Amino acid sequence: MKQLTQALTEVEEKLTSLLQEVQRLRIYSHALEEDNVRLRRELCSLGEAENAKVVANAAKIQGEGYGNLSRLYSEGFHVCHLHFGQIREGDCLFCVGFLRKEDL
Amino acid sequence: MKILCNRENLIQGVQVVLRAVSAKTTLPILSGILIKTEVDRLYLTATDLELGIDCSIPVQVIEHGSLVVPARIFSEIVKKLPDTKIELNTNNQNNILTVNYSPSQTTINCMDSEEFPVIPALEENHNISIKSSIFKSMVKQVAFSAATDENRPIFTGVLVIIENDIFKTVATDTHRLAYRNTTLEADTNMNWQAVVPAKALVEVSRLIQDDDEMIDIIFAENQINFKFGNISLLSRLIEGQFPNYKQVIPTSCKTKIRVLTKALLDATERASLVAREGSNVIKLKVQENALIITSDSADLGKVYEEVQVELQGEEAQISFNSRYLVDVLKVIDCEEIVIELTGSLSPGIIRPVDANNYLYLILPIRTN
Repeated sequence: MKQLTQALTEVEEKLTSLLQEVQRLRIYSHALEEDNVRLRRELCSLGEAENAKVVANAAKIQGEGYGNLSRLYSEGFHVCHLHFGQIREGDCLFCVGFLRKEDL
Repeated sequence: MKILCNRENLIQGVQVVLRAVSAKTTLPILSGILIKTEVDRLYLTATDLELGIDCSIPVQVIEHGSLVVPARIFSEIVKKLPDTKIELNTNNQNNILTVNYSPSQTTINCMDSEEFPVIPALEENHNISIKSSIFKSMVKQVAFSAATDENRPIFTGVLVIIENDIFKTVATDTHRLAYRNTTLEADTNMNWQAVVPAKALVEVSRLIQDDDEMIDIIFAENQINFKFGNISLLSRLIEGQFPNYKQVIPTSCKTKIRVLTKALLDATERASLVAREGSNVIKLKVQENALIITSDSADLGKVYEEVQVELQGEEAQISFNSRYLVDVLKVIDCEEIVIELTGSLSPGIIRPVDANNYLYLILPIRTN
C-alpha cells in the first residue's frame, strides 16, 4: 500500500513539473508572437526610399545574373538548363531563347 | 514447317524486316529473322531491341512451324531465286531450312525460334489513325531537324504531341527547329506526348507503300506501334524531358520578307558551293525588294545572288549556315515562303505563305 502511495506521489511530482514547463513555454511563445507582430508592423512601415532601395538592389542582382549568364554563353558554354555549363558547339536555340526571356 | 509461296511476296517480306536486323549485335539470335506460320500467312519478324518490324505475307501452309533464319544469307538467296513456286521446308530437329525451287534447292543452317525475343503486343487503348500521305509529309518536314549525335539522345527524337484532334510534331538539334501540326479526322479525346526516335518515323515513312491507306498508331508508356498494310513496326520511346520548344519561338519580328521558295533554294545552293568549308556561312542582306545572298572562300571565289522579295519592316543583315536553309527549302511544299527576322542574333522564322501548320526556326551565325 505504501509503495502505491509513493508511486502516486512520484507521478504527481512529474505532472507538476510538466505543467510548470508548459506554462514557461506558453509565456515564451506569447513573447515570440508579439515580437512577430511588431516586426511585421515595422516592415510595412518602411519608407518609400527604403522600398526603392530594396527594389533597385533586387534589379541589380538580377542584372548581374543576366550579365554573368550572357558572358558565360559568349565564352562558349551552354546556359540553358539542359546542358548548363557544358561546352557548346555553335549557337544553341534554347540558350538564346532563355537569354531573350531574361532580357524582357 | 512446310509452306508454298511466291518469290515477290517473300522478297517484299524479307526486305521490309531486314531494316530492323541488328548490324552489330552481341546477341547472335538478333542477326536472324523469325519466320512463323499463322493460319494462311507467314510472319517475318526482326528486331534490334530498339526497333522491331513484323511483316506478314500470304502463303499456302502445309505444315505449321517457326524458325530463325540468318538474315544476311537468307535475304541474298531470296533475291536471287528464280521466278517459280517456292517451297520452304524445315526440319525442326536440327534447325535446317530447305528452300526448294524445283528442280534445285538450298539448305540453310538456322537457329531455334525459342531463343528469339518476344515482341510485345501493345494494348489498343490509346490509338489514333492518320492518313499515310499526311504522316509522310510531316516526317519529311520535321525529322531532318533532329540531331544525329547519340550523346544527346533526347534530340535524336521527334516530340509527338496529341491534343484531342490535333497532332503535333517537333524536332530540333538546338541549332534549328522544325514544327508541324495537322488536324486528325476524328477527335481522340487524348492528351499525350512522347519522344519517338526520328529513325523509327523515317523507317515507317519509307515502308509506306500506299499513300491513301491509314496508319494506326498505338501508344504505350515506353513504346509506340505503327500498323499499316501488312506491316507492324514497334519502337521504344526516348526517355527524358523534351525542352520547352515554345519558349524559343520569337513572338514578334522587325523584318518580314516574302520570297519564291524555288528561287531562294537555287540561289542558296549556288552560294553554298563556295561557302567557307566547315562552317557553310552565307550572308543574307535584305534591302528594299531584294534579298542579296553572298558567300566567299579564299581558295574558291565569291558568289553574289540577288532574289526578288516583298519586304515589310526594316532592312536587315544576317548570316546562316547554308545547309540549314537548304534543308528546309527542300521540304516546304508551298511555292512562296515568309521569312521573319529580328536583328542579326535572333533566330529567323520560315513559314509557308499558304498555311500556318508549319514553322522552321534557324539560328543565325555570329560573324564579325
